[in-house]
Amino acid sequence: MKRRRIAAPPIILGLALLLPGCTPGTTPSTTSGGPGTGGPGTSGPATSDAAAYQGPLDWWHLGYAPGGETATSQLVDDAVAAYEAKHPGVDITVTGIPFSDEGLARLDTGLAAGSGPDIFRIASDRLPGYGAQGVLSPIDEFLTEEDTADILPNLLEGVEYEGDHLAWPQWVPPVGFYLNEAIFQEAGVDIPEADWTVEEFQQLAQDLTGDDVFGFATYMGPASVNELTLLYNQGATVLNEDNTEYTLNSEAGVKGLQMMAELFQAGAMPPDSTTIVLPDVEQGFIDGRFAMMTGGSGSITNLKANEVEFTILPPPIGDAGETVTVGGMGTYAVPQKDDPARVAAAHELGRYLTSAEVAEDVPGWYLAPGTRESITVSDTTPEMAPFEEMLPNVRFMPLIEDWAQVDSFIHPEIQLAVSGEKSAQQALDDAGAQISPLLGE
Amino acid sequence: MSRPPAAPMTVSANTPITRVARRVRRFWRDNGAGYLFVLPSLLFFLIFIFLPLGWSFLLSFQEFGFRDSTWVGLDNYLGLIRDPIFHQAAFNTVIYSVSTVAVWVLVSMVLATLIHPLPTRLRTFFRAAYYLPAVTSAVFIALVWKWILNANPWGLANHVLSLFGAGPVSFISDPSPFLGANVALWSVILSSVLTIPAVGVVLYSAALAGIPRDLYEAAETEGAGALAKFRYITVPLLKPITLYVTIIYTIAAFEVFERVYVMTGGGPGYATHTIVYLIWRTGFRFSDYGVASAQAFLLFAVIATISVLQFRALRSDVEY
Repeated sequence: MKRRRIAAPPIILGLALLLPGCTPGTTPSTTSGGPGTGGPGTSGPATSDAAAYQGPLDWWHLGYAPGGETATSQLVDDAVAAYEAKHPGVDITVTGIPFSDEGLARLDTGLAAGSGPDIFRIASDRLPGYGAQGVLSPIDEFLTEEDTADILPNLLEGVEYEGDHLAWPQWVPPVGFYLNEAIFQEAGVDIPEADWTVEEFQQLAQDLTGDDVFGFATYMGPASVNELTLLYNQGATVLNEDNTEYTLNSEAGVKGLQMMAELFQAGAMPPDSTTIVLPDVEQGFIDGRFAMMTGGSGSITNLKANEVEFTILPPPIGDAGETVTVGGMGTYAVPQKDDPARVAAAHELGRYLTSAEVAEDVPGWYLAPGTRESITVSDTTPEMAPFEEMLPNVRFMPLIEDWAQVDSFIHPEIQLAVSGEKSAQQALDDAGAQISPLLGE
Repeated sequence: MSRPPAAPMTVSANTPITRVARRVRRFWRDNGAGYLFVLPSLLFFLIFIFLPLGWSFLLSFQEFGFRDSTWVGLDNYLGLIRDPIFHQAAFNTVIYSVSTVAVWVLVSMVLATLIHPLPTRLRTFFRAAYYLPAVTSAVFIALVWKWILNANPWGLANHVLSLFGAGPVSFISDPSPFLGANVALWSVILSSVLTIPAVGVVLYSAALAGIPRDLYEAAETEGAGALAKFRYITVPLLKPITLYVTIIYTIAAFEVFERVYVMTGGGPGYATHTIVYLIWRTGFRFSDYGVASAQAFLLFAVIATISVLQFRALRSDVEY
């Protein structure tokens, strides 16, 4: 069918009228107004633009509440104060948006209407979507030699889409396994070593299951990769290396999923595993109902606040033959704008928010291992050390434009396999039937 | 040489223009104030309802992009016809709607009939009590039901079952087939039908108060019992309200979202996906506003068709 290009997306413009966060009067962005792309450079015109800029910067932050109402919000407020003190004339306004699909839709609407922020925090899996639409200003022109030497190369690759580095990589929260020490102690079971195997994990999950205690719990809903750890550590990947082919229904993927289904059928996982939400997994761990759970480094603060004694281990070693975990990356992205100086200033802020400098100015800023060699989060939060050690073994989800759809097709099928409605092979094949057309297969 | 005097200009009082002007003036004098009163509301409707709806309709024929969209004709609609997840969501929505609307209408009518003969104070109390769910947050109600139907032994329903040596049942976490659908979907339906249909009870109560007493007295004279009076007087005379209640409940049922979102997240698998849940997922999770718009307009077409059919089946010229 012949396709015709249509001018602006009308419904989103309509939505933009309705949404309070879309600041009126902001100059609409264009695809050519911002700095161009290119390889990493040294301090040049872009940096001098940033230094010359004096004026407002709008920073949209998922989950921020004004006035430091939450711990994260307080950290953001402290970072703003520190940055403004170092850059007189720059006036940063932080706007909180809900940490939900609706919040992200509001962000999308702002970007589409050109009335969005100057900088925003976003998970790396959403970058390709923005990259394909050309709404972001790549960081390449603003990357200094110091930056490229400091940022871990595999993590810099994690923000690369079609040759451009789309955002400032901030941190990587890999999925780890939390072990509830009280339950292990009560059951008379020793905490395993970091090189534990899948077979040991399976046995432990069943041994620790008892009255009102389930050996293992994980979230298997959308927008998360927690349960995929148990497929990846067998050697599975969602897509092949060049992201052109669906591969999760490989022998390795089926084996990992089958193991999870067997644990569920054996009663070692809670009966609501297929519908349990992420916060309930953590709460069950805190309440002593789950002996082991998957989770990112963000859980540390909550568990410590609830005085839970826990050990963090990397995922058990499966057929992959080495420790393998999965994770996403937290980044700061800068949208394209007409004002090059303002864009440069936003990039300068992005660099600061992902640097070791901000960690010195704002203790506790990093809630997950940083992406630069100069950042050692475990100095201030020792519990973070196991996550830092996992960094070289992190497998990122594919950076493709349709990742949200791919993700949404995987989890329902995993739920059906775990509940026993489908075999592991059938479930992963069915997910593939939905995903392959998106890849052009 | 002098010019002849110009003929005096005269305007006929009956030219079409003046006739129209006179009519407009008269119309404005008679109705202008009324139109001024409705103008703000009309503008609000046009800008915030009609215009976005129109744009959304156009968008349903486009592949959405942040900066520009591509015209794809009927592709979005044809894609839905081939989409097995849309089929599942449509099937779930129909099962949910048919089941809940039938029970809601019946329960509202019966409850209203039961409280109607009570003394005024008691009747007012029950009306207020039954209306409580309508003023309670739907999300909060869904959260309570999520706890009641939790698959764990500490879920209220499973706890009660355990007292009788039964269960546990996985309820909302069980996608296995059951009565033509699946356990999770029937659990969500159960939570809906067990939530008192507040609006229906209040509407039926008001309508019952309007049925003349002498009709019942005449029936009693003829020897009619309570059931006969309910069947041959109450039910037929409540037909206009039944039509209204059926239509608003059908629309509400087809638009079920928050209950599914909170209780199951559409899972396990696609067991409790409904059309509106799918629209939300497509629009807000995938940012695919073109397909989401197509889904929304298909839903609109289905609801409009069903409403017309319900009007034809239930309309009546009852007067009393």
